[in-house]
Amino acid sequence: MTEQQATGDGSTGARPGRRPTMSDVAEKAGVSRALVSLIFRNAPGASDSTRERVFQVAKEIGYRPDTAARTLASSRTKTLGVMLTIRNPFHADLVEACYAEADRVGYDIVLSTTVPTRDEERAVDALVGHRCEALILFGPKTSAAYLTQLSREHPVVAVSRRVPDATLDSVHTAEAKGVRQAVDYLVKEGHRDIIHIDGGTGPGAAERRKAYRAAMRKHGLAEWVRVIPGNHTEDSGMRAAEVLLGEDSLPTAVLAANDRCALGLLGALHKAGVKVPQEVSVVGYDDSRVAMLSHIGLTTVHQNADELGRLAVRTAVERIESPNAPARELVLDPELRVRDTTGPPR
Amino acid sequence: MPEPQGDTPGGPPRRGDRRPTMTDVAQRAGVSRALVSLVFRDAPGASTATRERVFRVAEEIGYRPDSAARMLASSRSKVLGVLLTVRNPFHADMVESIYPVAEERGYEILLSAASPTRDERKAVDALLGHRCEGLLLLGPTLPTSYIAELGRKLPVVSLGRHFRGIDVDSVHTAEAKGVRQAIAHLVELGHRSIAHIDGGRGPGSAERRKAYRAAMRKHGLDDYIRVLPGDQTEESGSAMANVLLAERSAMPTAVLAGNDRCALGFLDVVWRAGLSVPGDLSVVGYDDSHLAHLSHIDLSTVRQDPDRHAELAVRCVVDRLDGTRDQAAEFVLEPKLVTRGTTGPPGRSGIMRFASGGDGVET
Repeated sequence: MTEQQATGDGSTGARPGRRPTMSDVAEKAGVSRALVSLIFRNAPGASDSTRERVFQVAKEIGYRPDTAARTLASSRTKTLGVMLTIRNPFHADLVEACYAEADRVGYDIVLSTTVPTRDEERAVDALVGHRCEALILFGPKTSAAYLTQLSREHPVVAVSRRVPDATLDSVHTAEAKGVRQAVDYLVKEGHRDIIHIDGGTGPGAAERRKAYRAAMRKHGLAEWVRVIPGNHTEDSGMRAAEVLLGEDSLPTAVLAANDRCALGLLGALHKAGVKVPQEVSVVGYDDSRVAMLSHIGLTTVHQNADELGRLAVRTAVERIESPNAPARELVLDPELRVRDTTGPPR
Repeated sequence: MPEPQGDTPGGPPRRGDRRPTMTDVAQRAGVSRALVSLVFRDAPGASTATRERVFRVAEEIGYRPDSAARMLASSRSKVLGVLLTVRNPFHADMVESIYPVAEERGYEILLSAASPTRDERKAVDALLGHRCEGLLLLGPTLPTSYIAELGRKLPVVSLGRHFRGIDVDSVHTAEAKGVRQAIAHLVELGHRSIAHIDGGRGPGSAERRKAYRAAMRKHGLDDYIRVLPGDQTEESGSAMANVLLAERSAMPTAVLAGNDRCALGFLDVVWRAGLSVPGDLSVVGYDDSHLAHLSHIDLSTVRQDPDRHAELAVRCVVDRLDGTRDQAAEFVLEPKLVTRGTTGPPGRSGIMRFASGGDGVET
């Protein structure tokens, strides 16, 4: 497992998108930083007009001590907030890794999950409200603009999501490499009719989709390229199976968006009496512990959850300690794990 | 034993020289307390003039929000803490159900998970450190004395496990009934040799184990009673499957697992060994977590209703916080056996004989 470290394009120190600091307010308002601090602490010692001016400037440049908690918290909470999807078994793997590392570096972790009735922004708000010193987001699907804004207000680490222009730290797997390994392997086994159920707007989905197309072209299989739209849930695998089973012939191999999608697909194929891998080979993505346990023995692209979790915590803590350091992108190598759901084509 | 929830949790009684509060500022400035709070949070919604006035009054009466924690602690946090095991899919189901119910009652939820490097006490400590007003414990394995102590500090409800004799609320399924349904179903299919992988010290385990024995006896199957030690994880299911596979001649025809996770681990191994389910062996889980529905698993299992658990549990804690109840409450929910693809009539021979290797036995 090699670990690459890429720095964002703005590696000259002053990030173009860095969050305005108290010093910026002080400079622009023409007062000392101490006075700004005092005003935001609502301590006596500043005239009304200075107070007014400082608030005015703060508003102008977008300096936001978003909660009283945060402004006043010169005291450290030593808490990291993790946003996850509680149903995602890969996230469970990541959480365990984060807890272990946080324990080593002396931080605690609180969790906030997205559920069908609660979107990512609300899950994040809750963490902010709990005065987390940094936010670690597992596979955030929210817009890059939101993430960028959030990273101006708080230390943020995105896991399994690459954010273009690197305005915030991210830790993820080299998606394209994993997909290439899967396609290379299937081609070597003799497959040509290899389709991909994509992960929609899910984390890593765009990269995996693109890499699938590129890998197919590289093998001269451009005319076999086919992407069925999906997402990162079991349901999307089941729905894709319905589509495929309704057609004249099945592809010989399917690269699923992730393990959950692969499990849904396998379930539906199993129910329809389609033999895996004799009739169709199936490859997942993640290598979550549940996928490993499945009686099917899913061939999948292994993402190292332990390492992703460890690096996420490390990166978050480093960001807390050096808020103005350039954004970093840590990329881990994936590794194809061949198990029982793949074989030569029929 | 219920301790009244004071207005100033943890703090000494107020003296004559008590510190000015946000309410004092509000009163004096002639605005609402909410508006004062808003001004101090620098949130939009107050005019500049109001803002000014509030700050001036605060200065006059010496109101100082000296630390965020202190300021916020003076008001209610409106946060309920949830202890869970992150790898337990049934816990995930309950968490999904808890959020909307809590929000409806005006509470935010904070999650803290137990994991291999973090035991339940530590996970609970984190919740207490984040000013949770009440705790929902999902399948706690903590000792009764600890839970009792916790219950003296704040409202606590235990889901999936009942603690006898202490002042802590609980919401759980009528375990014995669920087990009886499962055994009756298997007996009706023709099984006699039905083994149980128990859940060790896990929530509900003792009740399920006892109910298994009683149900077997009721059906005149005393001789077939066999309890294999487990712990409600996939690993324990896998381990017990290996134990049974090594015996070959004395395989039971049906297995009642301690929970769904255990059943999944068990199925994993027997399927890999080439056995057909339910042709060679029937398997029943417990929980009906979302994984059990997956069609390639299609697990027969005892359904526990996560929505109902969530609703009652949140109500327990909120009622206590509202002071409408100070006696321990126990809610017992009806389980329901869901028969799916992992149960069927036993193989003809009754006792398993099979070749090692991948081909398995055709029935």
